[in-house]
Amino acid sequence: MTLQAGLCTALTSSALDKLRAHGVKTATDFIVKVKDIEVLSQETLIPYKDLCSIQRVLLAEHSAYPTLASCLYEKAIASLMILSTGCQSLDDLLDGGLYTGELTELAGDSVSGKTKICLWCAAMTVLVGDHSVVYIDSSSSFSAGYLKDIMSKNIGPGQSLSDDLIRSKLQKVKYTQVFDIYDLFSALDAIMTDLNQQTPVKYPDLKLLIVDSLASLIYPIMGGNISFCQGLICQLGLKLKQLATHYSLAVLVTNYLTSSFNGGKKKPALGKAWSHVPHMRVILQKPVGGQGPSREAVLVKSNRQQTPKSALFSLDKDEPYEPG
Amino acid sequence: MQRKGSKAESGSQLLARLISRTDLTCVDPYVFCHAGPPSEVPSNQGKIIELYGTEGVGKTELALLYTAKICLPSEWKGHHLDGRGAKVVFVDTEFKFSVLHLAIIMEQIILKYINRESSLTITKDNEKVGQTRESYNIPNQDDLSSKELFKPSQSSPSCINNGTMSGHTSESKKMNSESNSKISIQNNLVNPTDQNLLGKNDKQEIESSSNADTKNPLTEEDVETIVLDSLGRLQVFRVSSTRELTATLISLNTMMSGDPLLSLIVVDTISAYYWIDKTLSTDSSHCTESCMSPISNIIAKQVAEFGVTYLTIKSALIGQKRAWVNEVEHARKNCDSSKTESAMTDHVEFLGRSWSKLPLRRIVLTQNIANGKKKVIASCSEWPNERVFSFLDDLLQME
Repeated sequence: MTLQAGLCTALTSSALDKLRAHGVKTATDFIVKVKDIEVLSQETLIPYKDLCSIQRVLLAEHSAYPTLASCLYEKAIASLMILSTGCQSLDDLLDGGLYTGELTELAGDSVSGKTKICLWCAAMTVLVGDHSVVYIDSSSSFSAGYLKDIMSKNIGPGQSLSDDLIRSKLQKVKYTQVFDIYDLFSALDAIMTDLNQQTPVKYPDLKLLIVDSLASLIYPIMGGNISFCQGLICQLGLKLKQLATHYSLAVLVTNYLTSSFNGGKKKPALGKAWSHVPHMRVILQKPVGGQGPSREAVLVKSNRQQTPKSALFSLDKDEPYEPG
Repeated sequence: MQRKGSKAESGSQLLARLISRTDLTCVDPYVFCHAGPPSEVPSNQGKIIELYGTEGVGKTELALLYTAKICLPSEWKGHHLDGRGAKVVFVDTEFKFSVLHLAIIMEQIILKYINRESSLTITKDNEKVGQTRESYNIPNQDDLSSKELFKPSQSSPSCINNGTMSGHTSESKKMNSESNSKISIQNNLVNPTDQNLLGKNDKQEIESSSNADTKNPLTEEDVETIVLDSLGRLQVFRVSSTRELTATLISLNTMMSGDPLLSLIVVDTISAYYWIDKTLSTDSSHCTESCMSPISNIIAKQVAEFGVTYLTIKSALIGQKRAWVNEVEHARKNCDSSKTESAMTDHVEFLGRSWSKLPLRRIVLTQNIANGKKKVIASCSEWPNERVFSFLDDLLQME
């Protein structure tokens, strides 16, 4: 960010010219040169006091604002919500379900049930809590019919799912299709803009953000310029986590598995930089010798629980998987 | 005695130099001790600590554990909690800091000390063991008790699924209080109501048995108060770019000179913007150095001037691919394939020269999973042996 005259009273255009002449062009330059402010004052002939006040203004503008952890705690307790995945064993694995403020990653090969779990979560969130859900789909695997099926199966006893109710529930699921990573960025920005308003219009009471699948958006830009791709991945990670923390959302993303370079066990894709991003990481796979809809979920990364931890569940909701 | 050079010292610098910061050595002597004999001028060796490791290995967990120990008070109404009561600044660069998790860690530490205390009193007056244990419901051993403690947590998911998922503040509060930590406290601590239920004679006996220092057992509210009080000693900064990080670290100067209790600064993680900076910069080969050298300078200067300790976390962003490829080529030349995994866990420096020149104590964390139990192995060039941490009920413990 370049320094501009009028940023504060001490930063007049003549002072600015003198600073520029001495190689101080941006705010970063000024902040970094803080240690020899006396020398800078002697060199540029700008009064020492003025430089100090400029520095104070710049620091105040560019540094983060401190929050007492006790205040954060009160806020976190008031806003924490645990969203059910709609599957008991998965909920147990995740210590209750998806936590708001956290980014959970599901990694698995094809037919491992990633999309199904996303749809379960979406259905349960609108059905039980009546919150809205953003479903960002990059592989066109979304199915509203399946959502309706899950809702009718999970509705409490004695309640019936009328067409009106289904319609109102389905309206809470905001579906967005994206085809590349830039689309995703603009979709996330749109959500952020809406949530920044006092009363969000498009996404009232938004609690869950699903990106299915993240890997298919990033694969096309992989290869070639490494730092470019890794930079985008990191920025995406930051943005998703910023959404999660600032607006208290649970974020659920899906990822593929890839073979590691030395031919070891399969690991989640997208590289080392991404691997540090999720709070929770679950690998979905078929259990050894398993057949049909039974799947094994292994929690490999968690900021709350001991890892690794695994659970068995069934993709076919009608027949709960019974181990043994 | 002549002072070296003629550099003037400002008043605040003088004060900061004369103020003695809280000594963190007893929090973990391996990590926070200063090297060198005490007769020498105190060096800055060991004041900058770097935790390095791959994802999910427990870097943040370890940092939070130290943060909790430093923020907790050393004692509370006669109960020894072995904290430092010092202030900590946590710079969160990746939106990763979870205050709830920190609170849970604090609660677990408090519980651990209470258990130890109560088992001590039990052994002190042996004849009342049966009675006391029965009425207090405190099992004999630490391990046993904590194992039992965490059973109730299994029930928490079911409470949550029973349709309590609503947006109301009060209900989510209730929901949270149902989550594991709180349950463990309820089961473990002496509830005031329980105490009232006890007969008069029993009560008197208990009062007499709890030694002469009139210690009152900690109630659930007490623990809550301790945690809130300790969290009040922690400042959290959330930054989102290198520039913001630099400015924030500089702005800590005023905080440091004004607050003698501030003794630790945690940066989680220092390498968060490595790739982003590379993307944004036109000159990708030098950008890491130009971004990191101001940060390194600030850290070195603050450690020297204010005597604070920096605990930084560095993620393993750069793999061992190159090291591996080199080794494979070497092995191919020598026609043996015995060495393939040896160099895989070593540290790779990628933050540039200025960072590597800092006098930092690097602790490399690796994990070892055996029988479904994870152990975190910490190694440091200054230590003779590796240290092993294991998880007991999701809380890191020294072995």
